[in-house]
Amino acid sequence: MPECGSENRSRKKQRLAAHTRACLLWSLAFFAAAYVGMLIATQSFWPHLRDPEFGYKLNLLRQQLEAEPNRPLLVLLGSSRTGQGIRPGVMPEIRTPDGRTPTVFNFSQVGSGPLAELVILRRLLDAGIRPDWLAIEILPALLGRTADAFGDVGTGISRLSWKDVTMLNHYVRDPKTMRRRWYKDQLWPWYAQRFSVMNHYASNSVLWRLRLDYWKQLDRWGWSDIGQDNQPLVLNPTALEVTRTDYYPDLQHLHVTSIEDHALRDLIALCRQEGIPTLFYLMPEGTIFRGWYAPAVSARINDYLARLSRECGVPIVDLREWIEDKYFVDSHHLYRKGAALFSSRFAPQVLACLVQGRLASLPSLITPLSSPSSEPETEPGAFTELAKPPARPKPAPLSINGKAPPQ
Amino acid sequence: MQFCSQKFFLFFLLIFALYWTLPWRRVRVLLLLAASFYFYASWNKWLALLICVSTLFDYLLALGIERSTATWRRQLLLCLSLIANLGLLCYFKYANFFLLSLNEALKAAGMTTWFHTFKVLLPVGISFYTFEAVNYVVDVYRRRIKAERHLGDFMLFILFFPHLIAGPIVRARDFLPQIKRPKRWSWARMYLGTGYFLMGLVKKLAIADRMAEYVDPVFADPSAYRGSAIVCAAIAYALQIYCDFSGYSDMAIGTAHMLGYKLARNFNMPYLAVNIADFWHRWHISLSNWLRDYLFIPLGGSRGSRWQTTRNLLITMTLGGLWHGASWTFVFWGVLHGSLLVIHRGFRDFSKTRPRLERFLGSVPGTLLCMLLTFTCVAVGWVFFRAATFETAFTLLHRVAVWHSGLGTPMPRLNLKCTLVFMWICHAVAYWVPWRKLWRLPAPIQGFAYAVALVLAQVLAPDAGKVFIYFQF
Repeated sequence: MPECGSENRSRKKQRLAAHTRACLLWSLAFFAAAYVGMLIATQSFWPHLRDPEFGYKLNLLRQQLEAEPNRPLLVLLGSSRTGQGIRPGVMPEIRTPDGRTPTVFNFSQVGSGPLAELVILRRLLDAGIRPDWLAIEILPALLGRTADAFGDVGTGISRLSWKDVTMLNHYVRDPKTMRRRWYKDQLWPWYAQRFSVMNHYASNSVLWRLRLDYWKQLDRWGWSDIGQDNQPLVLNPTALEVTRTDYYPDLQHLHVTSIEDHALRDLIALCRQEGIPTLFYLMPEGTIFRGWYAPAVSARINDYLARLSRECGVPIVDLREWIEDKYFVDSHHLYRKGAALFSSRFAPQVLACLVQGRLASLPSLITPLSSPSSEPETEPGAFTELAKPPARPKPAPLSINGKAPPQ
Repeated sequence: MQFCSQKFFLFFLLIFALYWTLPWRRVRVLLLLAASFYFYASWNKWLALLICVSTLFDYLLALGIERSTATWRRQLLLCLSLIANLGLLCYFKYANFFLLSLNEALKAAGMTTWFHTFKVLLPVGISFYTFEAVNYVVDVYRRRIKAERHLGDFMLFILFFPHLIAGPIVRARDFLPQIKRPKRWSWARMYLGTGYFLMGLVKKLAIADRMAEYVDPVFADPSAYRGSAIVCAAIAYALQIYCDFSGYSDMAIGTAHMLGYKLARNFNMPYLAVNIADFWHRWHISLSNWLRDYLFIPLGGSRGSRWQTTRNLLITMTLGGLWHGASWTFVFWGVLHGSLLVIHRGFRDFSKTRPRLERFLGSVPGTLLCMLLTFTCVAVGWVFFRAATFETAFTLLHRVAVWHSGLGTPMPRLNLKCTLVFMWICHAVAYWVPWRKLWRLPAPIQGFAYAVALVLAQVLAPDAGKVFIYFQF
């Protein structure tokens, strides 16, 4: 009897061992599947889980193209200024010389400078979307940073795909750290993409400051559809303070960094290589924001843009003074009404010139593309500044990492 | 190095692999000892040396106590050990607190003060390992256990990394024999350990750290928030501290299991307690037991008169409060719990003579009412525990009692509601469904549950990992 009991016990033990081993192996298998699945999904067919802003806009753009496959495509790239400030949905119709109406899509991304714009354009081309025209915003304050939305090793790394990392290797200051962090993220993909996942599936349970789902409120043309039409047009002091904290220090000592310059020139080269007619524009800014530029910085930016325009032969349109102060939330983002107003002017005066190939008739050009006398100068803007050579300070040389070389 | 960090994961993976590859028990002990030293030294290497020195001191004194036959010598050696252990604890944890309090008292009396505070760094987990060392030496003195001959084994008892920083407070008589026992690989044990670890990980990352988002802003600026936000913060803190501490304990128990050791259970669904005494049987069980065995009972326990029992309870709980932190708010929290225990004893005696009341308390609505009342008392106590000053605590309570307008919760309330529902479901399952039944579920279902737990813990983790609350004690 005791032998039988011990035999039973050992059989029970063996069964338990087999069962628990199976449980552990199953859990490993499930976890491995979840891990690999997440890696593949984020790197390929679910880009919105890796970079929600890009993923959502890409889906919207694809829907637009499927709905109207024969219309040519004009894509706007830029920062949140463009995201909130340009409403393709309310733009007056623009036509190509052959009478077609292009689909205008706002593909801006928050915090985008030249580097992020280059990444986005590459991603669009890789996704098989080749715009017929491109209008690209230049946010002057970002020209002085060593990182924008995608170049920031600290925050932007989890949004990158392997291709992005390979490309950014040539631009970021510390590619080794970037690669290391990126690999680390791939080691824990669920952890790295947790905010995207939460924002996508359960944004209500995400802390206010970590909410990233504002791109869920996009209209069909990629415009950030936030606020209300009857919203009172009042400058928001809290938002203004945030803006001031973000930008004021940079605008006091800004030097164009080699990273952003390099990215901007490569962006132009890529557009040229792809045969995409392109123009650059500076979004409207309020008087307060414009007042934050130190005179030397202002001159430096204008000189840089003028030189870029001349050297690369691209039109850069300065629209910083196009909109009255009351239409700004925080002196650089437009209210809905401001966006409607700006878009109604931007489309016929700027985008129409682009799609009709009349670049010389663009208003507010930083550097005239043809003789200055032939320019219809509706807005003098920076052009008049540049038109007075004696008043212009000596152009500052490009600097590396925000440090000006000795004069 | 935190249990829920990637660094710890890699560290543990390496130790785990090496541990089970090595066939020799002695080498395994040395490996664990080295790993534990590295684990502690990752915070501060000098403090790691300090803990080694104090452990060596206790080892020698315990041997001396065992070898001595003269009572006076045994008592002397015990006193030496207690002075060394509690002296270090007092110096590192309480010296500045007492000096500052004395300074303030003298200032209030209109006298000039001349005390200067010390610049000391609080060794992580000092309260835990000191109590472990004390229980060992006292048990040797009481001849309940034999002094450990092997220094390595004894050091591993104190330094074993799973319980080193925040418990459970391990008893020498439970742990030392485990070190001697040869360890064999057991799938069941691995499975159990993994389960505990994952449960702790979910508790810490998915619940405790998320709840902190409701708590921290409110306790930082209580006058800015309205009453409902403060109530939410208090409930969230009750969840946070439970999940944080029991999460740590679960992870400690889990890692220990995976290395073939068993640590004592530290929590048993404390918010289902029907009275405050029941709460202390379920909350931080290893500390409650320690306080009972090495403080309350030596003081006389509940064997004396009502007054003596009251005194013993109040002394034990006040010192228990002080053990948690060097601040008057912790002392008050201890006194509050001591008073609640005294009131509970009185009420228990009162209800014994009233059968209808007793019947009601035993019924389902009565039990639920008791649970709610106990939880409310505990949650009010947590306000003092969490608040940095009395002013903050009273502001919070005042704004709840007298309705004030102000900011709402720092995060949408949905999260808190979902967490409460999730906790209720988990408690209900743990209460009603026997573990054996859960173990019998098909392997793929259990495996799936484990994988989901691991993914959930990662996805729900907040933006920055927070240190375990009990690390500061």
